[in-house]
Amino acid sequence: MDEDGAAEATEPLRATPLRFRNGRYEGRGMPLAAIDDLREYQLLLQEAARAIWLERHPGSKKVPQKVIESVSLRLVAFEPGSVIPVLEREATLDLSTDFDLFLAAEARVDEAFAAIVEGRDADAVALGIDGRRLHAFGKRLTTTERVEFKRTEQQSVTYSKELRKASIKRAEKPDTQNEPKTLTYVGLLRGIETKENGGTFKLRRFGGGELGGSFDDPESFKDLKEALDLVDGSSFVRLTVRARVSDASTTIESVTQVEQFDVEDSPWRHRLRELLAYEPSDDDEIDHDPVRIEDLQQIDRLLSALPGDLATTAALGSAPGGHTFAEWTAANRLVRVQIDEDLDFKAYQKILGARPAARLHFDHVEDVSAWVQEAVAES
Amino acid sequence: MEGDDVFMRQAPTIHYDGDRVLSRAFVPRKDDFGQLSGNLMSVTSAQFASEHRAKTRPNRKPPQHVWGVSIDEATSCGVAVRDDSQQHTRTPVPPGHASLVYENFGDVEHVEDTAADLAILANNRGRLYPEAVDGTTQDDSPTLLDT
Repeated sequence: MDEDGAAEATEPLRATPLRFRNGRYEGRGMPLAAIDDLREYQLLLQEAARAIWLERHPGSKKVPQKVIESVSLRLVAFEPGSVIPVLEREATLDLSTDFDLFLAAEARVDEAFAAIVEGRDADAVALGIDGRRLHAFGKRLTTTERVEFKRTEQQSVTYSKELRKASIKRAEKPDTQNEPKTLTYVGLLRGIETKENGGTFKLRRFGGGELGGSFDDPESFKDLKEALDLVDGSSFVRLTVRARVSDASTTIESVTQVEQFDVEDSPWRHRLRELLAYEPSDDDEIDHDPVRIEDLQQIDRLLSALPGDLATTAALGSAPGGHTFAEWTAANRLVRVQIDEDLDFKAYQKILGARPAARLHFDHVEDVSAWVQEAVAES
Repeated sequence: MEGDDVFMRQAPTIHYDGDRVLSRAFVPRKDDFGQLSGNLMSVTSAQFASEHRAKTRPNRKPPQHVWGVSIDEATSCGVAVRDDSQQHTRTPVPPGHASLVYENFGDVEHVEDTAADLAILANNRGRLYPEAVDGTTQDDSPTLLDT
């Protein structure tokens, strides 16, 4: 800007060209019906810009209107070949910063269509552009017509009616087998190998089998390495991963969490481990949240504080919400201690036919241990 | 539905020594606000579950973590058992499925208390999972229910 605050006159910047090919685009000019796709293209750019701006301003919930308006296009001419609409960036764009939001939005839209062309619809939506908005573009293309997004001088992405139709079909009936899922695995880490930008690991799973996987960030390596160093037969890990699962294989693409589980050896230790390793099967009708490691450590403290016979006869389980409990059942009563959200002990005793049963809360393991002994002794 | 049919509910991750019953097995899931997200607990008849398992997983042993309650036991605790296959629901279920109906129970604790009673009754009855159909369960490894 000059001293008066007025924008300096600059040459209009051309947007990266789109090329429309075949069919109606072989003639002179551009069919009026296809102009709507250019308007959709601008809306796509603005949605991408909105997503980028929010990522760069994590505290903000709304994007200023002027930012959206800065990503606007002006149709100034057509070039032959078949038809290349000459789109210029509106002069309202603030170029005073190094970061060019317009270019970033263009790149993101190109990336989204590249993902759709390759059948990776979820990756396209993950870029922050609504699927319906993406599908609104190209609605007027006929079977033979194509749109090319010029990514670089050497690369371009070609979009067609068929590709758009296939993407819509996938959105209506997602192929869940191809989508990455969040899964957990429990076992002993047997090795890590680092490569550029990540690495691979091997996990010997409880329940049998060895599993290989990849990780793609230094933080995961740090956590995995720490867990590997601790492995001495008494420590094991639960890995939360993103994986693609098919009938033939499971491909772990990234590690999102590494948790170590380490309790003293005890007669119930293997049961805590089984609880942690539990994986819902097709037979499970109840939705099940993962067991919290902290819950198991609290249960371990409780069982350690109880006399041996009570500790070994406790039924251990996890409620559908993921909270772990120990339970004793006799002919006329049921005694249960459940770990609550704050890792305190919630105790409950139900006598057959009598109600209501009182719910008690204990902060200290010694207190809840004494209560359990008394309640079970009354049976 | 016959009065002595045993209906079953699978309770994931229950671990126990001997024939012990998880009362949670008969409690509908709570929502984020601590309320019951439904007042129906879907259960499956023992016979249906056994046949289904024999067809779909002939080489697998029966699950260890399945608990049963009979219609008589449920009604003695004030719980109605609804035959879901007779209902005109949006998603009809095959025969052999039913629901424990907690519609008039009012609060979550009442449901939990009643479910605990059902658990005690089922626990007292002993073994819950039915024998495999026609000997199709080929895995002879002992389960905790074989104690």
